[in-house]
Formats: sequence, structure tokens, C-alpha cells
Amino acid sequence: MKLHFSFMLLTFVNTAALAFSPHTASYQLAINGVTVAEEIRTLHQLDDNFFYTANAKTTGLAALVKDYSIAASSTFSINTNGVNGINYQIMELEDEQVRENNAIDIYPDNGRVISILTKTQPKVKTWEAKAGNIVDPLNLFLAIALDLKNTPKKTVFQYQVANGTSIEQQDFQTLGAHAISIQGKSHEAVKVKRIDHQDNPLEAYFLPDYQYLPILIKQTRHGRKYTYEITSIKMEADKKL
Amino acid sequence: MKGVVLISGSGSNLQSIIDNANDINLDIEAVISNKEAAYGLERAKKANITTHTLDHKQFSSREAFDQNLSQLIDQYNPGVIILAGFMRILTEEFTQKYTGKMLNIHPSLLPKFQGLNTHQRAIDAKETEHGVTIHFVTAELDGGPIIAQSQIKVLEDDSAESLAKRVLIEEHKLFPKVIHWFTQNQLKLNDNKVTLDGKLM
Repeated sequence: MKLHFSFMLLTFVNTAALAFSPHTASYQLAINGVTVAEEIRTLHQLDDNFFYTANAKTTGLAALVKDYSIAASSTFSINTNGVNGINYQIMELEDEQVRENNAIDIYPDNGRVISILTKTQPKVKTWEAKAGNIVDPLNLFLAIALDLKNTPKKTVFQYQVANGTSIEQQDFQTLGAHAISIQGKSHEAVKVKRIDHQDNPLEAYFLPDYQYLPILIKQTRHGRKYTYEITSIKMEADKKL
Repeated sequence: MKGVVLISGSGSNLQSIIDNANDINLDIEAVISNKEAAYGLERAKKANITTHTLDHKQFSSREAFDQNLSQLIDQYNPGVIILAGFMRILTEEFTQKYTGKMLNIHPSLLPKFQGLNTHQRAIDAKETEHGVTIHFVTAELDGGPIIAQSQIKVLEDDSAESLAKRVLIEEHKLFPKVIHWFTQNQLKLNDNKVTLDGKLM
């Protein structure tokens, strides 16, 4: 698959004024080098907030073994501290049946995250957070992208990540520019590594030319190597904040 | 059958219910909105239906709001409570109180796309079909037992707006039909299972 970038810019919009331009990015997920799923992430702007969706589905041989999909959505705002969560939901479907369904409302002003009742989350739970912004696993990489864009000299970024089952601190360190090859093409990207999570290492590469969106994410969990690699990105500047 | 309708917005589904009320044996006793500016309140007033606004922002907790809402509803002793675009998540206590007599319309083919922005999410997920679901309300987010669904094709060039318009047409047809089943005592919820004329749906 050839990496294809396309830009649709409306000439009358000042893109510099936007925190993010709405866009659609496609990723391939490989486990131990074998492509198992495709994921499409789409960012929309809705009035003063952003709405971000991710839809992943098994592909290739993996799809023959299991019809598995994940649909996640995140609503968030942006303030002077960066991305700030409002609502997050992730649903896993296997053969069209719901396997997991976690949904949370995020109240950063009150330092609380409250779960929403679903079939797989039958009790309301409340998590206490520290003061400051709260992100979710979906908008986390947009939060990093925004911080890289707005504060390029900062080397460590800290986030409270609420995922529907817990809330945890995740810290990331920037490791400068790295040339990486995606689909046979070289890109200059900023490397970021998660620190203090040695059992679950994660590194990601962000592309300055495209709002610092992540183009490659590598993670190791339970001895398996997960790789998210971008295959296409389409950006369009539309509404202004 | 006496009914109370809860809304939060423009109330296009409310209008369809009002327009069909006689045919579906529904006596709309009151329309309650959690937003003062909801245009649905105007629709109700034009049809000489009593309206109430109960602003959720005036309450310190979800429980306090639901308690007041419940008191308001109970004044009318309704046989059915219809959520027609009521954009609030209800507490377990509230939903349990009205189990089997509270209906909700949700603009997606549940269980897919619970919550908000369903049309955009269907497009983002490259769904080929989308639609509307009517279900009994439980404490789970858009997770109550499904009564009926109506589906439409998602077109190549659909936007969230164009898709919403076509789904809305289905909503306006399906909701009165399901309410009519309920007012005729054909539709029941027993042991979390939906029956129509005594047969499992």
C-alpha cells in the first residue's frame, strides 16, 4: 500500500488559528510483524469541542479467524493546558456481539471521572483525579501532538489518562527528530517515549508537517509487539474554533 | 393511554407523536424539557399540551434531578413515558421505577453507536446500513431491550446531515407505531424480554 497524503485546504480559513484541523487518518495494526487490523481515526470539530472516532476491524487472515472490531469515540475540548476530556466510549464487538463496552464522563474541573452504565459495566464507578486536564486513550496522542506543536522545547509531558477501568498517570519524553521509513518512504518525525512504564513500553513518532499527528506507534504488551503504522492521512480545514 | 413526553431539543419526534396521538390512542398529558430553549416546548404549547422545564443545571446531582423529574412525571400518573430526544443519562433508581413503561428512540442500529453523534460515527465506521432503534429504557446507556429497528442504506456521498435527515424520516414512522403497540397493551416487557401480542420479539 502506498502512503498517500492529500490536503484539502479552504483558502479563506486561517489554519494557524486552529488547534487541529479535522482529518481522517488510516492505520495498519500489526502484531509481531503480521498485519491483523486496519483502523481509521477521524477528527471532527463540533461547535467548541472536538469529536474523535476510531474504528478498527480485523483484516486479512486475522479476519478469517475472528470477526472482531473496536469502535471508540472521544469528545474533548482544548484549553490553555491542552486537550481536556469530556466523554469517552470504547466498544469491542466479536461476531457483532458486544464483548466490552466502557463509557465514561470526564469532569476535569471537579477532578472526577464517572462511568456510565453499560451491559459490561453494570455499576457506576467514580475515579478521583488530580487537578488539571484529563485525557483518554484515544485523544492521548492528539494531546501529545498538540503539546509538541505548542511547546516544542518542552521535553517531558504528563497526562492523566482515564480509560473506563482506571485513571493513571502517563509521562512521555521527547527524544528529538528521527528519520523513519513508512511504506518505503522516509519521514522526519519527532520521537516520543513513554517513561515509567517499563512493563509496557511505548514509543511514538509524530510528523511536524502534519500537525504532529502520530505516524508510527510501537508498543510491547505481554511479550507481543504491537505496531500502528499510518497508511494515509487526509486533512481538511473547515470550521474555526 | 396517558403519556408524558420528555425532550431536550427541537422535538421533531414529539411533533410526529402529537400529529399521530389520536390514531395511536395516546393522550399526551405533559411535555417536560430539561432545556428552557427547547423548541419542542413551543410545539407542545401550539397543541395545547402542558409544558414544564426542569433545568438539570439547577440540581447538584443526577439523583436530585431525577428525583424532581420523577415527582413531576408522577403528577400525571402516565401509563407510558416517552423519551423523544431527551439527552440525559438517567439514574438506575429512576429507570427501575419506570421499568417496562418508558420508551426511548435512539438514532442508530443499537448496539452500535450508543451515545451522541451517531450519524457521523456510522459514516466514520464505513457502515453500509444505519437507522433507528426504539427500546425500553434501562439504566444502561442506550442498552435496554430492543423493540424495533428501521434501517436505511448509507450512501457513498452521505454527510452526517444528509444521513440524519433520512434516519429522521424513519424515526417519525417507527416511533408512533411502537407507541401504538404499547397503548394497545400489545407490547410488554417481562423479565427483560420484549413481547408483542404475547410473542417474543
